[in-house]
Amino acid sequence: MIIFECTPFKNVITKSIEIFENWTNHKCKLENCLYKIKNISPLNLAELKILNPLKEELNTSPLQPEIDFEKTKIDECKCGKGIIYSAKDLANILKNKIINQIKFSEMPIFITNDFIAEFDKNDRRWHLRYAFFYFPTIISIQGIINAPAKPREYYIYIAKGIPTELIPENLKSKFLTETDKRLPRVLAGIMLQAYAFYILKYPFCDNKNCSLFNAHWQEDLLNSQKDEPYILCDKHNFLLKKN
Amino acid sequence: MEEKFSKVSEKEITRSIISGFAKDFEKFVDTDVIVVGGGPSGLMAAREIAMNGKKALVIERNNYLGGGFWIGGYLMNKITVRHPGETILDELKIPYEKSVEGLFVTDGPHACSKLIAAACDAGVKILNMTTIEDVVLRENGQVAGVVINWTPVQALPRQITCVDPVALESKIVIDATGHDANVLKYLVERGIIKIKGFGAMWVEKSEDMVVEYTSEVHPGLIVTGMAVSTCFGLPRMGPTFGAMLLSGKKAGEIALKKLK
Repeated sequence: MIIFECTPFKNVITKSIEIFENWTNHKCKLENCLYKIKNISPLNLAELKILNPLKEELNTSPLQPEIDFEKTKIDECKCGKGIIYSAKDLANILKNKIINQIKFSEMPIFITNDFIAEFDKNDRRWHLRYAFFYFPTIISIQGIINAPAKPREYYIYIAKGIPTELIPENLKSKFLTETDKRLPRVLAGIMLQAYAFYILKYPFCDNKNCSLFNAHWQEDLLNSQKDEPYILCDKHNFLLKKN
Repeated sequence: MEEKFSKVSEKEITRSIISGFAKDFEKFVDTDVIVVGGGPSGLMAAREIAMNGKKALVIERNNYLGGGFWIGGYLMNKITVRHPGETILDELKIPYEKSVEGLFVTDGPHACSKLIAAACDAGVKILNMTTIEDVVLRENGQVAGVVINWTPVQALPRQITCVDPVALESKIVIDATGHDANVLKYLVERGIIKIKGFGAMWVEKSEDMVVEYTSEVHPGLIVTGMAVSTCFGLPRMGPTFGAMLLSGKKAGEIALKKLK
């Protein structure tokens, strides 16, 4: 597996790789940020910006400050400021940049702090994602923290204008933050999903206790991404140390 | 009863108002920067410019200045500022308390009056009860001023208030009109620029983005405050003001760099 890292989260990613390698005996090769090493065009990134959560159209005519922002973002590692990008279009740009140098069997994963989303043709709106399973797979740190919904009480507090800092501690424990000690384990579980995608062509499992569970709530994510009662269910356990 | 106040007739008072206004108005018909909107970002931008020796004129459609800075969320007059916004409160000598780590709270009326005073002390001139009706454009599309009229003219039926506006010239215009983005919209109407409209509220992320995207969007036109959200399709902010102050300061710095 080739991991293109997100530099500000290097420590978290290193811990996640340790956990993942220990589970699978599969060695990971760590590389620099894919945006940087492949000279991704700031204009192309600005064009992938989602403007309205209810409209499929992207930012077809970026303004110069938007392009400048993308350049600064890459140069200064300022991903995750709040701009959301079309996951599919981003993955396609990255695919075209690596397809001649990296094989599918090398399982490339780009870990970024940028937000990514997919447009659902059924409910006609964009949905934040923690990962987009493709070649390469994109895992979004901000997506892990923000895509699976937090408990309903959290949004009631926010709607009342109560700042995040003043939310009760017992509620805060029910969702992840950027500095959360549980983040490396959760990220390792999502790396397992990418691993399953590359081997089985499908990353998910319906079992709520399996690390391959596609969680839409933070509480479900935290429940599935722990070692008890098991890391992977009976059906997927073969992925651990046997492949 | 002995009269304490000086004896001045009505005509002297009227003359003083006219001459005082005319003197300032004449001086600011051609200025370095026109800031449209007298909310927290507009006042901060104008103060930054005036403090550095340049002429800054604020145009405000209301009688009062300060926009939403008088009052916080849900009509409660406490203003919250997230770090690093408190650096501006320090700069303006506005007292505040730490609420929790990274979050500070101050009194709206105290903070707002201090900000207005700081802008005026720096030399900013204010035209209140004045609405912009258009922008002044030069051959190459450079924004070079604004067209203004009295606010009451717009509030009354056209048949009884058919009053032509007047134009003011400036080297730079700053749009600090909030979500309405009133200056930008004149460029949009002419097809000169395409703006994106603001998104849904997302307090945690919107503040960073507003400051980050504060910029010159078109030659001669800088956007600041919530007009930045409308211009670039950023999320709305909640009742927190750090980004307004920092975005205003950044807009002022950009303008000063352009004026050099």
